[in-house]
Amino acid sequence: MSAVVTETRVSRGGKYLTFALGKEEYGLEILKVREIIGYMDVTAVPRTPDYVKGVINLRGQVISVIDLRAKFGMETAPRTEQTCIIVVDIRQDGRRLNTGIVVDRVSEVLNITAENIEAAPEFGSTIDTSFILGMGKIGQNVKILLDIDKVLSQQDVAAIAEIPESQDAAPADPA
Amino acid sequence: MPEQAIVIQELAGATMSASADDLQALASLHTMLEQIAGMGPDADEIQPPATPPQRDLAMQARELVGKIMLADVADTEAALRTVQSMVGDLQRLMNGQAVEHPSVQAAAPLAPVTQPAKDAHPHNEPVQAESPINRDDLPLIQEFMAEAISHLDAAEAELLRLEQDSANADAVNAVFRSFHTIKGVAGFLNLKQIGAVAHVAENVLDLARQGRIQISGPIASIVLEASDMLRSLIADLDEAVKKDVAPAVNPGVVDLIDRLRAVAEGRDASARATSTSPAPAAEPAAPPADRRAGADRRKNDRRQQDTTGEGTVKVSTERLDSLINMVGELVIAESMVSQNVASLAKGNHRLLRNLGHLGKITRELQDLSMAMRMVPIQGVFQKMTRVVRDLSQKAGKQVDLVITGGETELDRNVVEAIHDPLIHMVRNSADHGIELPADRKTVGKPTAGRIELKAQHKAGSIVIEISDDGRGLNKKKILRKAIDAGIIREGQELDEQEIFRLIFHAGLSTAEKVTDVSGRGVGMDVVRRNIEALRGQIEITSTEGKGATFAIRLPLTLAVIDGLLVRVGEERYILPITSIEQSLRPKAQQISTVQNRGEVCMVRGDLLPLFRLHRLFDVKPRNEDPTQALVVIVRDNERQCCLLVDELLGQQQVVIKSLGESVGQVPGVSGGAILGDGNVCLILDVPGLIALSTRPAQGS
Repeated sequence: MSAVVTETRVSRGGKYLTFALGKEEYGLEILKVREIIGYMDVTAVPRTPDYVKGVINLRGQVISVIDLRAKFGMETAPRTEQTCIIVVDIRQDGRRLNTGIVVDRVSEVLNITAENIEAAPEFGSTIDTSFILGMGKIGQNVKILLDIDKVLSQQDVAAIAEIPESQDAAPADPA
Repeated sequence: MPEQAIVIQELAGATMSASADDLQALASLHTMLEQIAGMGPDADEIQPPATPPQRDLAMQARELVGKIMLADVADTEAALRTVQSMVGDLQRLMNGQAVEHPSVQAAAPLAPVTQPAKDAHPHNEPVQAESPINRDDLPLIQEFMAEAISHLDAAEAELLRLEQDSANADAVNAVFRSFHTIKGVAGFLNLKQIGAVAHVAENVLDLARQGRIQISGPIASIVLEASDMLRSLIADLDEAVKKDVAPAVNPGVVDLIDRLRAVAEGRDASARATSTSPAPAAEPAAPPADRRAGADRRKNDRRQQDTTGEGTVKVSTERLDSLINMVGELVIAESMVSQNVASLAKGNHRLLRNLGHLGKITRELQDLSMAMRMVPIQGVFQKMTRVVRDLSQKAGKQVDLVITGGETELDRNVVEAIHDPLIHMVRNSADHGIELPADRKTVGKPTAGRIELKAQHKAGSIVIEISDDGRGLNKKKILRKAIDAGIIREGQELDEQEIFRLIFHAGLSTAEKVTDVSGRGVGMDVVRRNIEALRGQIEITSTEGKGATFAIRLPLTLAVIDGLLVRVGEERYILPITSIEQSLRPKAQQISTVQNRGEVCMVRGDLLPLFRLHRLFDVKPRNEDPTQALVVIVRDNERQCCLLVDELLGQQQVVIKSLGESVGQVPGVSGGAILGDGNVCLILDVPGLIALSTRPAQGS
């Protein structure tokens, strides 16, 4: 079973929507993305974790909005013209659910072939990388491809911001 | 054991009336052909048994019917015509006429059925493990589950009718048909357990149909048990379909089948009306004409069903809900446009008139879409009949259940949510309220108790009343228990309503003995919580010795509430109007602190706890000073308290949206609403807020 999982993980070539959080570039499988909306007023919901920004009205549907920076333990960034909400279609306990994620900037849609995707590097026990599908190599740049279902379902995602930026997307080699 | 001549006639009738897309009719054809071929279980074996050529012909016809059902033949209509001619041939064969049917002679390998059917289906055949579900059958299985449930609902209603009037032949037939259909389709879909249970139950019912037993007392109970078993098997099946595994084997099936067999075979002597001559040959067979009349009636029934089906469309609730959501959006968008345009279009009368027209249409559309969700409460009430029946039998009581206002309509969601609390309360009435017949006699009441279920509309809400003529609530006993349980202090003054309301307290049960139906001290507080979750209220009136009435007042719909929009700092919240008592600007002398921690506010001589909404929700308020802000006095069923807010923004009707899916349960918040400006506003849950603020402080 685990062999199958690894298999699908590394061979997930396809279209990805890339976006930026600070200096880091991330990618989301395009099939998970419902739409991108400009930042709007978010109604805060009391007594929820701080990465839950609140709820918004998406054409009559109340959906929650997650601050991805807070989720990843990054410092908060001021809201700019480019700040936007990506509405993703996630699965939780077998149900489909629309959730908004706040990102600094949406970049582009990229076609990343399977051979350009490396497995997520291991950082030992300090950083959990189970929510990373893989690292996509685009020329000199590296995009962190997220398994958004896992990102949003995990209670506490270890600070991804601490991933060293010079990381060469080297394949995870235990040696 | 059915006579060959009768079976073949029924078969011929059924074949002629069947259509290629009527799965149920085909399934019963399938069953009948099996019966003729001697493949059915022993009780269905026909007399005299079919000869080998007859059997082969029946087998071939059966196979073809199976193919039609699976749409495994190119032209199902043509195939059905072939089946019809095969059945015609079969009929002629059985009448001793020669038939020229080369296909039969040639195709049949004439493998003689050496074993009698009896041995092929040994008596105590263990229920085999179910085979995995064939994915191709999924649509059929899903359809089957829905239809089986409605068949069981119908059968139960008829069974209960039979208990009043066991000679009611129509009711017997209706119940028989329900089980028969379930058996047929289950057999075809290879659902062994369901098929087996339905089959033996059908055998019992067949005896009743022939007038050899009466459906009453223990027999009615066992048939109801079979119905329950089928329901749970269907639930298992549903589960299995979802998980894509083979249905689980239910350990109770074998025992139930044994007991049903015992009844069917007359081993349970007490259950038989006529017990002396079980010899099948001696049994006077109903004249064929009768049977045909039965078949005709069946045909008519089907036609009737078709006509009632005309003009209605089944729509999935999901679609309906999203339609209602979109209409809600339309209403909001319309009011936004109207506001914008009205300020710009001064003097443009035509535009304003058109806008007014649009507004009217929108509101009509909203009313219409709301009405689509309304269903009569009768279905829930009907289920109570069963509850009362089972319970009174178990407790040795006589209870008549009288239902009025079953046609009253309310939101489908409310109907579903009211089901469990209602069962609890009806159980309570039957278990605690109604006395034993002997006790009733001594106090001069009729031996049969009476429980009344009533639903009616009253001032924009629906009131459901459960009243009984039993012993009523015993105030002294309730008080005693409450004091013992430490809920109230000795000597505390309580008015009647307050005493009655104590029974909703967790951990207080006045039942003298703990029964398996009620009296565990969990019932009523759950009832209260459920009703409150529906934004409803319960009122109790009771006279000791005369009976008790529980009146549940519920909103007609869960989708819309009247709310008061309040502001705290930059945040806006909605408080349900139903939980608001009044609002005021407190004077300094009204506010005092307790041990420097809690705050209280004196309102008309009552000291009420004061909770600052901004502290509970951790937002920055405009006014820290209560005398510059406002307090809103809210109450849940038990207590009042004051909430400190910055400003009241006005009253409005809002459509409730659940937050459950996106952010989960938030304490103190019952949902979200979309305001006229398109923003989401949280709806406050008053009981939740009170619970939140009375909980030990957590850093806030």
